[in-house]
Amino acid sequence: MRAALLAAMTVALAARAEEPAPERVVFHTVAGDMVFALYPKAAPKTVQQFLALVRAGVYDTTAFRRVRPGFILQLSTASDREKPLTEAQSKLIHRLPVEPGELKHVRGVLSMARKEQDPDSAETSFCILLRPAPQLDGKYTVFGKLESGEDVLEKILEVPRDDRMRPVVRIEVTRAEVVSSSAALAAMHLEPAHAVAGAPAPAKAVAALHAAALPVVRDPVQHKRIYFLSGGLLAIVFLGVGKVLLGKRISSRHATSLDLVGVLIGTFLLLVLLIPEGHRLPWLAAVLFIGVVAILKLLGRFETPAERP
Amino acid sequence: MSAASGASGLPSPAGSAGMPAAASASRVPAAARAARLPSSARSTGVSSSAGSARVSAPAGPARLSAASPAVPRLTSLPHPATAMSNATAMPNATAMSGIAALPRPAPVLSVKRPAAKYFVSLPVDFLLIGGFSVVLFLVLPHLLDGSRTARVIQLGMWLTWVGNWPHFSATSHRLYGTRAHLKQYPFTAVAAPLLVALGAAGSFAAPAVVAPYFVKLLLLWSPFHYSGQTFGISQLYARRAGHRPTGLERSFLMAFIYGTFIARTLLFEASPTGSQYYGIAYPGFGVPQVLPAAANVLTYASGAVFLLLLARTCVRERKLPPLMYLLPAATQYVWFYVAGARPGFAEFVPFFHGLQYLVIAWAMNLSGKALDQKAPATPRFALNESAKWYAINVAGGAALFYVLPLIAADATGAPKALATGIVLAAVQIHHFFVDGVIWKLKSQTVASPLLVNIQELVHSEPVRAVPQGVAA
Repeated sequence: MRAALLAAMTVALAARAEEPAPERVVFHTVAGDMVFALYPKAAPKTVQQFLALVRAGVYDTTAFRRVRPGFILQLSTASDREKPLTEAQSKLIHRLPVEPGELKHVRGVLSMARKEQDPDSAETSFCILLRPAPQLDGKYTVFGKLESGEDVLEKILEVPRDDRMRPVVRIEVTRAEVVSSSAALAAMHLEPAHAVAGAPAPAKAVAALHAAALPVVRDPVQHKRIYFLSGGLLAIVFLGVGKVLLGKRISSRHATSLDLVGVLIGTFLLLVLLIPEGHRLPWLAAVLFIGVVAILKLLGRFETPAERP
Repeated sequence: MSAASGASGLPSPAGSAGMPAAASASRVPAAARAARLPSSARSTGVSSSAGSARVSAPAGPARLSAASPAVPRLTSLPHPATAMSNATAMPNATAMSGIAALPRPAPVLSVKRPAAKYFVSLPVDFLLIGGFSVVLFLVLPHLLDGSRTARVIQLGMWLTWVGNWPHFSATSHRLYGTRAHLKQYPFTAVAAPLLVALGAAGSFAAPAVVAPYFVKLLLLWSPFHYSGQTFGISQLYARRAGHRPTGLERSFLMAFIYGTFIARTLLFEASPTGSQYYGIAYPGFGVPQVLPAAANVLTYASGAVFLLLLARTCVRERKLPPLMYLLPAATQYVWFYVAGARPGFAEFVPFFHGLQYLVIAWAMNLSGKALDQKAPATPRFALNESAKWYAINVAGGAALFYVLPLIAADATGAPKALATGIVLAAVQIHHFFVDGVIWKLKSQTVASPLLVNIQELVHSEPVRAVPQGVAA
């Protein structure tokens, strides 16, 4: 009974927190227009600052800089925008305390980004959730939701990304504005979703990433990754060759140990290779996780003496 | 965070137990060693006759029949039923299979007292193996409101110096402390540090490419390693209490213990975002959202089935379930599951994990030293040996976790935080690797004085060997 009452109260509180403000915020982006509804009851300070910043033009020429399909789309900070902030604009930006509230991180909600170790460090950057993320509940401020523009999201997701999940072309918010009411919004002409100009088609993404003009090709990280993976593969080859050459001169106990060294190196290489892929394919991530746990268990056989007959 | 680690969102500890008695004890004649064993260690019986040693278990709770179920493979702790110096005295016996697996016991020695249930005593063992941490968990909200304040972090850090770091050092001390161990584990002694050094070198060379995954490996291995220790300790106390879990009961207990690790880790891994470890950003797996919930259900189901099976056994045998058998799993449940609600408490988990390890490693080290000396152990001897062993490990821990990162930062020119993150990951991975090897009871030379009772050890007199049938 008490549990039912608690549950009912929680639902009621969440419903109240989800009551949107009359204003709507429109982000005009290079992929089309997005409309955000805000939750002032759930996150009063965050909403207040967000509206003030939009009105002051702080979000103009910012960009979506981090795209993690199946997780989030993140807007850059205002300091990273194309046009430098004016002094007046800078003065409007304050650190925001976390306002966890009752709202859940579900698809479409707006959640303030902050520093990992500092809950009260949110300022201007925020994320649009692409799927539920309960691990963020209670830790990050949910302050609004994407009311319309799902198709714009899809267009942004189609833009190829580099290794660090940054779109290869700039997904700019050309302008952001506050619309006073739903009626005013209905009277507005919203630009529909369209492909981002200059973005290579997804099918051509690989070729595009190798084009000299794109930063990812010049990224030394990519080269180091290739060298590291090659080095790891070489180590596995050496282990195999060594074992063949040693033949029966090593005991089965040590042969197993050599094999396990190779297994551990291979597992590590797979982690490096496939964890980023797993971000696109959650079930691949699951297989990878289970595989690593199984390998750790298998490592228990390292240098185990043979059973006596 | 293990030791000095700090993965946000998850407790990420480390550790296991170990004991250097085997090799050192091998220099002492087996009969002489057996005669000096305290009753708890002798209770399983040890003898040697021209290389064909056999074991006789006394009547009472510690007795294990040849028909006992196969002994489990412990991830990190040797099987508790193997008597101290058993393996060295029994060249034909497989240590891992221990007493239970010996086909036809031909007892030569018998003893009057059953195996000791505790390393020291019920209250001391209870507090050190996990009770203290559970008590702290319960009272912490009243003291420090349970949040992760600067004061809590600082206190956790100090405790790490005296509890967690030394336990890492104890592993290296055991492996590299004697030439006999190096000969016994040549691959582990060479391959483990070499592999880890390669990983660390790769991390320094390519901090954006390798270091995140090196740290990721650490943070996956660490709670896995905790689980191995938890399971090992629970089995140890089951044997001490004379409780013989069935294969099913053991499997479900293992599923519950590892389940706590998997379910909690999956919750974190449902996000691809990851976190940071000494400034090294590492990724999450991004597993499907349904997995953490499924793992959660399986964990609780395993725990429930385990309790049912245990209750059935206890009803059948008309006895209470051994408290110390349940404590490690309950403690891990608190550490991994409940502690998330009180972030302040998580700061202390590595200390308590190290404490678990140290109490066992200390008891085993002391019993090994006692075996090596010709006379019975006196309280002064025990005190001196304990102080020396602990001092070495405190110094070793500080060298590994404090000095080594400074040297690495200086040598590589890497930022201090990065160097600290990489070196700490390397030291801990090395610990997990080595610990998974050196405690195996399959090794014929790993003697396991895990049934030792320190009070008996210190006060024991040389014991007269009694022919079978004469003893009471």
